[in-house]
Order: sequence, then structure tokens, then C-alpha cells
Amino acid sequence: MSVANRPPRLAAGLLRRMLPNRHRDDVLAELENEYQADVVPARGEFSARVWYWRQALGSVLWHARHGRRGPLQSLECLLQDVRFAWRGYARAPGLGLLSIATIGLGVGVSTTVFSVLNGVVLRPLPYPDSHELVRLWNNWNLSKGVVEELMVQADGFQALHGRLNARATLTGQGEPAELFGAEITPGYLSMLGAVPLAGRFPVVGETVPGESDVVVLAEATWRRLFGGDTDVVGRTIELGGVSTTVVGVAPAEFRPVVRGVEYWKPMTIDPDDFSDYQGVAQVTVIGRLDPSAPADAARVSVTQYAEGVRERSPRAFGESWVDASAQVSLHRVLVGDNRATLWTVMGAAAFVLLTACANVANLLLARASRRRREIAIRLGMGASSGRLARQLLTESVALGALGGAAGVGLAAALLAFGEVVLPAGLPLSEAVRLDTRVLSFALLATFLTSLLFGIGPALRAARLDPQRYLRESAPSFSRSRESARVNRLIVAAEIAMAVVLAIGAGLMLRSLGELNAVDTGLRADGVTTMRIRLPANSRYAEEPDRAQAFRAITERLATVPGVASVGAGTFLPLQSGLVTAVYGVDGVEYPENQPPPNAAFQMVMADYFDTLGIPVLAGRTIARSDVADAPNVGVINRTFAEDAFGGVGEAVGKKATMFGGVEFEVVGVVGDTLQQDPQSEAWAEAFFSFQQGPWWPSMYVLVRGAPDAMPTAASLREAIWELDPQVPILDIRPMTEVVRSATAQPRYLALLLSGFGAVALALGAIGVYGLMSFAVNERTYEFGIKAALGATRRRILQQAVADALPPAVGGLIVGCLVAAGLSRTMQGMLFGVAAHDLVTFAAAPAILFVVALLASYLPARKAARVDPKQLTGAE
Amino acid sequence: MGKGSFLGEFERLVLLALLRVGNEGYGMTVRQELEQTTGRAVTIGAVYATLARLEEKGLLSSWHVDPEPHRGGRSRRFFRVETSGRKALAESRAVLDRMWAGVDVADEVQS
Repeated sequence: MSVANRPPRLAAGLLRRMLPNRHRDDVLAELENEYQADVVPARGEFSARVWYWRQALGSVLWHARHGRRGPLQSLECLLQDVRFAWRGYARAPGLGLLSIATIGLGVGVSTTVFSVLNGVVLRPLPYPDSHELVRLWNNWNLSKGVVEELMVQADGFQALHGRLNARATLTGQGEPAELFGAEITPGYLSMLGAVPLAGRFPVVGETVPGESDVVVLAEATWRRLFGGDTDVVGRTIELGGVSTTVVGVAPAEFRPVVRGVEYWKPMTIDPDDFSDYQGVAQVTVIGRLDPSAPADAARVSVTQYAEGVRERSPRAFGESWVDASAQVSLHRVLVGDNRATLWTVMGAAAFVLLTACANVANLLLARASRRRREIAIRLGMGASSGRLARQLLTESVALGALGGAAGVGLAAALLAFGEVVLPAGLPLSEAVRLDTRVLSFALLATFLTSLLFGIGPALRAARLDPQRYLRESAPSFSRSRESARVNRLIVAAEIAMAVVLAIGAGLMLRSLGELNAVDTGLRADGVTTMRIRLPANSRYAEEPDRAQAFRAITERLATVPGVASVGAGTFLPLQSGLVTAVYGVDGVEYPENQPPPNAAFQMVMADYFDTLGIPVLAGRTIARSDVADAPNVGVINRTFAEDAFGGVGEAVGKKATMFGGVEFEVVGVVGDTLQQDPQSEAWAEAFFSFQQGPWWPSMYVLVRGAPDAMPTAASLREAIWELDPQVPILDIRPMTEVVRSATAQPRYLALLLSGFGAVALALGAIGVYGLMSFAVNERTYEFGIKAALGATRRRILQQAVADALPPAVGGLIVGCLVAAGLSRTMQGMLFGVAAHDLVTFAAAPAILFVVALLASYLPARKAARVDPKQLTGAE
Repeated sequence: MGKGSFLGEFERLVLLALLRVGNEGYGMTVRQELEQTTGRAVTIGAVYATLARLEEKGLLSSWHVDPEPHRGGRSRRFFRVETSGRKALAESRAVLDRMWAGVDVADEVQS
């Protein structure tokens, strides 16, 4: 028989599963026979398939309805339950919709957060056997010479490699394009499991200067700049002003360790250039452990090597450098602080989910209470309580399923707007998506929440005594004590969770406030920053040409209307990416067992300090007269002055050395600026004249505008392009934005927790409102009697509200206690605020108390206005 | 006779269809006969379930036939109506006739 005439496999499989054994083979065979012999020839294949499906489904349903006990019978019961539930909710959809929306919110939020947690923290890195990958000297970079020796001497690794960030301008392919890339030791890409999409990767021997003009492109870059041209391998391109041969392309599936890398070149190590061995520490070392080596072999061997280096050059390397050599898993390195943050957010999301659960539980309990008459009748007519409980549970699961589906939809929508939802600079964010594990989480969350809020009404119904309810002719004064108690407990739990979230949010907000208040050391208002990178062409090949070019640029910018001052420097404050070097002070011997003093450094020109508003504390700043022939001078910051010379006043006129012996005279001291983020302390920093030692063709240019006449970005660009239209101008943005982005993560966390807190608060308020309404509804008769007996409206109101207070207050207290316990885990994320900050712990519950009070007052007020005559007339 | 349960409507139809195909039929033939004569869609599962139930009640008997020698042939289960089955049918008809006597639904029936 031809394959095309096979009946639909899915339908056949369904039949195979669902039919009782005795008929199964016969039915399947007969159907297939008829299908092939009669139906397909008569009706054509598509119509025949439809016919087959009809037969399959019809047979299954028939057996469900008419067959004896079997799995199909349960299916039939389930379908009945669902139909019944649907009818019940269709009559009064409000409650159903509210429950679905609430569950949807809870599941959606927690699923979104889990998908982030999953992508960043839980999933292994996208490299084969990624648990073997480690970084050595985490938080430190090494010089090329050290790396070279380390690669040879270290044991216990399958592979050990180094990388450093690089930039180069690609010319000769249309518009010049600035590319971000990496210089690597040969074998680095293979260690990470990359396989060339085309060509090959750099090999040993290509690190020798002169042999290193080869490059591997990233697939995206290759497609973007070369149109995916297949004979790009072997082609020569102008990269960084040097003729470079493209030797390979790395596939898009390969995720570079540093995001955004567009090319890889072999790292050149020139044994003659001192800066390769000591001096500039710019190489990151990443290795792959050897699983067959003894567990400690790698660590011991690296420590030994580091000790060896320290013994050879004790002035340059100290104990702390040796200690820092410890390996850290690469995953940990990439995730960094985000791990703690994400687990905190996950905890908060879990609270939101639980609060949503609690709310729906209350709603369903209220509904079950109202239906107790109907339930009692059904019980009285012979329905088993087990069956009834199952039906109620089915209802809850159905609600939960719909809510869960809505939640997944919400999560999908939130993730689609990824950039809005995720914090800026989140590592591994490309792994954040709704994958199988995340969907399983959503399923589990939905199932558990359905059980949680469904079990209450189901159990209650199972234990109902039908006689009691059927005999009642008048509404009882109080509904069953137990049910009221459960409701109150649930509301108290909701309030407690809302308090925890509110306190968490409050702590983060205060922390954020403290961070924003930190003195950055500069005046960011009115300053525009941009990065200018001189193209690597003949015009800027020589260092003096570059100095001249930047001087021309800064002078030209100063003439733009609205510009008050212009400065330039090789690094921008409040960003990471410091480069440090060891320094020495003339006449001071550093003891061998102390860490060598390190300072950040940069080259500045024009009015750098003035433009950024950095105060001069002593002496002078870098001047135009500090040219190449003039004596080497440096300006240091306060921390440097205090560490090296004992004070601001002592430093001017003293001599110091950096870069392995280059001496300079300290001519001025300036205030500290934050090199990284407000949470870190300022490093010692030295500033040198760009004219006395330009290294990089790239500088940050800073422009301060006159207070009432800010120059536009366009006018600045035009001014520069007048000098050379080929110069790329990148990242033009206000300095205030740079400052803001340094606090991006704490701000994100604060906003997120506040959002969660607000949601939980809203849910808690709804819970209290609902509880109160319901309680008050049940007691209208009682209120009516009291009013008829002369109680004033006010007294009734007071009593009603007072009755609602105990759960609210109880919840607040429990919530505060839980928050006190949990906030300790947040200490690492807080800045300038204690984990037990009294202000937050007092304010949050107070706010919630007011909200709870209001939520209980409103329904009570409505009830107290009811005319007593109306009530006694009813029933 | 008469003390047992009535024949279900579908059971009756299956018995009749089986008789119509010469009192020797299997699932597919009974199903097709039913579909053609009643003009309604009939699922094979329903047919088999009913045949099995009728056999349990003793109104049908069944036997296996060895596979045909050609490719793809398989062993089949054939059914036939037993005497008790015929009796049940006859009774069912008698009951219906009595119920129909004097009842006129011509005006409401749209054919």
C-alpha cells in the first residue's frame, strides 16, 4: 500500500489509546481498510482524512458515553463537570473573569520573572561542558607577558587562553565602520566550542608581530558588511589601517563571552615591548579545566605560578595579586551581581502569585458559601460528597487553566517588549525566552495555585451537612464560624505579603535615593559627551598627528555658539573599563608583603577638569604647554595624593613613576570622581597630558554648554565634520544620562519591587474590600435589627470596621516580622540603608493600614445606610 | 420473554442491518449498510460496541475467519443474528406496532 494512503496517524493513535482492548484491533483494521479501499478513491485524500477523524472522535465519544467503566468514563465525568462549571459561570461571569484576571496576573508576572531567572542564572552557558570554563584573576586583568607564561606553566587545564577588547575601523568597504572586537590567543574560540562557519580560526604562530594580520569575522558582521559573500575567506580588507586577511567566519550560534564582538584577531605579543610584560594589564584569562586532572591541580598550579612571579618582582605584584588568582566559574563571572538581584525579584514575584491565589481563594469561598443551598440539595438527593468535591475542584482547575493561559499570554507579551522589561545590560539576556522549562514552570504554578485556591471550597463542600442547611428558613445570624475564620486568615495572609513587598520596595527606593545623592565628584548638568575615534588612515598614523587632530577638534568645538568649555579624556567617569598600572613614589620603598599600589590613569587635554566641574585642590591642571618635549607632568586625584604622599598638600612638586619607570612630576591635585558606579569607592587616579603620551586614537570629548544656550548635538557634529567628515562620532549623550545609567540596576530593582508592591497592595485592598462586603452582606439582617433597636448608624459602622481590623492588624504584624527576617538577604543590594531601616518598616505598614481601613470602611458604610424595614420584610 | 429490557434503538438498527447484509457481516459492512439505509453518519466504534453488547446478551454469535491469502489480508470477526436475536426483533416490532396503533403524526412530520 502506498504511503500516501495511510490514514492520519494522530487519529489512529487516539483510537489505539482510547478504545477498549477487545475492539481496538478490529476497529483500526476495518477503518484503515475502508479508508483505503472506499473512502479515498471516492472522496479524495483530504476529504477522506476528515472522514477518518470523524470516525475516530465519534467512536471515542460513543465509548465514553455508553461504555462500561474505564478511563473514558472519567473523561466523560470530567466533561460533564466542565460543562456544569461553564454554565454556572456563564450566568454570573463577573466573578469568573475577576478570578481569571487575578490568576493571569500572578502567573504572568511570575512566569516572566522566572524566564529571566532561567535564562540568566539557571541555564548553563551556551558552550559545551560549560561547567569546566573558568576565569582566572576575576576582576583583574593581566599583562600579555604574564599570560604567555601562564599558558605554558599552568597544570590542570585542557586549555588556557587570553582575550582583550579591541576596536578597529574598517575602511575601503563603503562607509568606514567602527568595529568592536577581541584579540585572542590561538585556540580560544575552539576552547569555547566554536566551529568555523567558513575558513578557519587563528593558529599558533600568528601571534608574532608581522604574522598577525589575520581576522575572523562574526557571522552577523560578515552578512552586514560583506553581504554574506562566500568568497570572503582569503580576501584582504583594511582593518585599523592595516591590510588584514579574512581567514574565517564564526557562526551566529556562537555566543562571544563579551557581547557585541564582531571580529577576532590574534593577540600580538612583542617580547621587545616592555608594556607587554609589565605595565598595562588588559588581558582576561579564561580556561577550561581538565576533568581528568586531580581536583585541585589547576588551583595549586596557578597559585604556584603567581607566587613565582611575586618573588621575581615583589614591587609589582603582591599578596593580594596572588590571592586574586583563584578561579571562578565563567557563568558566575558573567552573571555577577545579577544572581542575587534576580532571586530577590523571583521571591517577590512568588509573593505576588501567592497574593493572587489568596484573593481567588477568597472569591471562591464566598461563592461556595452562596451556593451552599444548592450544594446541600444535591447532597440530599444522593450525590456523593466525593463527587461534589471533585466537581468543585474541576471548576477551580478550569478557572486556573484559563488564568494560567492568560498568564502565559501576558508573559509572552512582556517578553516581547524585552528591552522595557529587562534591566539594561543584563548579561545573557538573549537566553531569556519562553522555553520548555519556563512553560513547565507556568504549568506547575497554574496547577499549584488552582489546587491551593480550589481545595478550600472543595473540602468545605465535602464536609457539608445537608440537613442543617435545608432546615434553615431564616438566614442565620452568622454564617458558619469556620468559614468566616478562614476568610479572615486569608485576608491576613494577603496583607502580610503586601507588607513584605512594600517594605522591600521601600528599602530599594531609599537605597536608590541614597545612590542618587552620592557625590560623583563632577557637575554633570549641561555637559555633553561623545566618543571620537580617529580613523586608522595615513592622516592619523603618527602619534603627533593624533595629538594635533584632537587639539584641532577641541579648539574648533570651543568656537561653537553656546559652548562654554571643552575637554577630552581617554576614559569617562561613571563607567567601568578602567585601566590601571602600578606606580611608585620617589624615595618610598614598599614592603614586600603589601599589595603593590595601583592607580587608574588617563590622558586628558584642553579643559577636561573645568568642563566636568572637577575642583582643583592644589597646584594646577594639565596645560597646553605640557607638550612632548616638556618635562613629564601628571595631575593626581585626592585618593592618590592621600595614599601616596600622605595628603593633598604634600603632593605637589613630588615625583612618582608609572609604567615601569617613567617618571613624572605631580603638578596638581584634583577632587575624586567616581570612575565606576556610586556604590564603588573612587580609585587613585593620575591624569597625563595627551601630548606627552598619546596611546589611543580614541577619546571622550566633553562639552559644557553655557547655562542658557546649550549647543545641539547636530551643531557639535557639524563643527567636527568641518575638519574631517570621515571621523566617526559616537555615543553623543548628556553626561547626566551617563550618571543615570550608573544607577540603572538599583533603579530597575526599585521600580520592579515597587510595581510588585503596588500590585500586591491592590490585591490586598480588593481582598479586604471583598471580605468586608461579604461579611456585611451576611449581616444586613443583624444590622437591620440593631438599627431598629435604636443603634445609630455610626455605631454600626464602627462595629463593622472594628471587626475587620483584627485580620488586617494581624497581617501587618506578621508581615513586618517576615520582612525583618527576609530583608537581611537584601543587605548586599542596599546602599546607605540598613536592612532594618526603621523609617521603611514604619511607613510601609502605616500606608497599608490606612488602605485596609478605607477598604473596610466603604462597604460597611453602604450597609449601614440600609433601611431596617426593608430587611425585616425580606425572608 | 418480555421480562428483559427493551432493545435499544441503535441495537435494533444494528440487528436489522446485519440481517440485511445476509446475516453474515463484519464491522465495516454493518456500518456501511446502516449509513446507507438510515442516511445518518455512523461511527465504527458505535457499531462495534453494540455488536459486542448484543453478543453478550446472546442475540448474536461471532466467529473468526482466517486471513485471505492476498497481501494485506487479515483475520476478521464475523457476526450473525441468532434465533434469540430474531425473536427479540420480532417482539420489539410487535411492541412498536401496538404503540403506533391509533397514533397519527402525519401532520407534524416533515419528510
